[in-house]
Amino acid sequence: MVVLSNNDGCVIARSNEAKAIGIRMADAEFMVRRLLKEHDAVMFSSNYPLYADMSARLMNNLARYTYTLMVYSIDEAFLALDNIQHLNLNDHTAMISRNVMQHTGLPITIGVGPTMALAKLANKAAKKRKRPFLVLDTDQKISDTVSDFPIEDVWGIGLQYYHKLTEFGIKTARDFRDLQADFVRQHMTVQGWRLHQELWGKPCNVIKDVADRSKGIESSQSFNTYQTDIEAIEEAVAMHAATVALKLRQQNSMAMTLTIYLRTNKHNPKHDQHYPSITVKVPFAANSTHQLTRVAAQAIRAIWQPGFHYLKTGVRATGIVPEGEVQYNLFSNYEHSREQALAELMDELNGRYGRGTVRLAADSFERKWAMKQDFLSKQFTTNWKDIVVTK
Amino acid sequence: MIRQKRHREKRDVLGFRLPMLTHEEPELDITDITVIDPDNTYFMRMGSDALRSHHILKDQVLVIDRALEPVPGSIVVFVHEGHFYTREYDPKPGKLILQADEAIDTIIIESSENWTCWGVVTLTLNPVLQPQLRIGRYARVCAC
Repeated sequence: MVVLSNNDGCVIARSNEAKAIGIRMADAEFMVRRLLKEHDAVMFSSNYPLYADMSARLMNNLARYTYTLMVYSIDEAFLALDNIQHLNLNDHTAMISRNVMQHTGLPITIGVGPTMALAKLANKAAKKRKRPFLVLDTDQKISDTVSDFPIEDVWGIGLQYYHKLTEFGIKTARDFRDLQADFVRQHMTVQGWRLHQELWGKPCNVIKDVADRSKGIESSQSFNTYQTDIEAIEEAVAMHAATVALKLRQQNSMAMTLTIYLRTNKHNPKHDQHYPSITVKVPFAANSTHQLTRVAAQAIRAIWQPGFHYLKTGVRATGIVPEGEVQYNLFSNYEHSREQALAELMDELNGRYGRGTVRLAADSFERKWAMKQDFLSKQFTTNWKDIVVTK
Repeated sequence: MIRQKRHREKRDVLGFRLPMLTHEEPELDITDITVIDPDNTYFMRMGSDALRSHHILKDQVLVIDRALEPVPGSIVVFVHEGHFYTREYDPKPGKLILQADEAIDTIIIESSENWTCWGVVTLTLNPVLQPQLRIGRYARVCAC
């Protein structure tokens, strides 16, 4: 099985079976179509509402086992386990793994270590050994695991460092760990030094609790009169998206998904009722007015229908991640600093001269919202029309 | 996921503020008593008449909790080769029986065949509105 990117362009996720028949990340859909057919494999379009919902369920389940949960990405999180010193770490991890898999149906892998870098390393090692979890709770276990752990798989070692370290003859995490701290400091940035410390079990990164995940950030308002016309509604949505973007920037975080909704007045029996809502993925986690407004304005056009008297609209950001910890898409050509500079300038002008002084021309959007999703799986958990029918 | 509770919109009162407004409690919400563990609750729809004697009729909405372990007599959802089955859980020595009204719908699992318990049904929604009233916005009652 493979999952395709936006517009069904190329492969962004593969099952083990798909990897085995030689399908690579980023292969174009038309290239692998025949191969998949020959092996009776299936393709799916990205189903972001389902992923967002399952991600939230996973994170809420994980949150039951810790006081501090750091959601690192849509499918990764760090849990601080310093509250369970009286328990057996192995048994406790096994219990979390078993429960979360039964409750969510998601096959998860847990790595436990004294630092974030070692936890991440334990996780990868467990995956390679096809085990549900690995606990590195003794120095012996740590040194055994790092000894054959490839340096390029270590968290934070990018392509550049990989080449540099290869030149020094560093092949495994153990080789790197055995370097003198001064040598690391000299040849790498402070990040590299921190990683070195963490591999020796000295914590440099702290698991931070991310602001209340369940709530998200929302901006919404009722219209002063009923609105039927998309232009006016889109303007309101653009305004809400801009507000959400501002709030995100104020708390140094970014949103991975936006939910945009529209409502008629349920207390008016004379009007036909319509309460559409849509959850869309932001192409790259973002907090710039520009990006969020564009996404929201495209989304509202997808759910608005003529003939209804709408009373309220709103924009809600979910999948909120800290600004420094955003994972960019494989093909990201997102000009981060440019977007950032523009956003900061807009905030400054709006802060000085009042909100809304500088805005984006919200009506200049391309109207080809209809994303190509020919192989979309159902929205089992977010759309009543798509719930599973049992026998 | 189950939505956060929706609160009635507060209206600004001009002039004299009604004393009861300061004692306002959130309105009753049906999910307080129907959805016990929102993070692990899922909805499905019954697609057969296999459990009529349990008052589970075709097209009813099933509320399923994945955090519960089934006990004998539980109504469970099992999954097998991509298909979901709603039956009564009846473990017997050496085998597991998923009971239905008729023998033809009953499933007997002899060994660890690829049958997995997906969740336990906690309640079903049974719409009782007459068809002639299921119009306009009332068409949405338990409609999927």
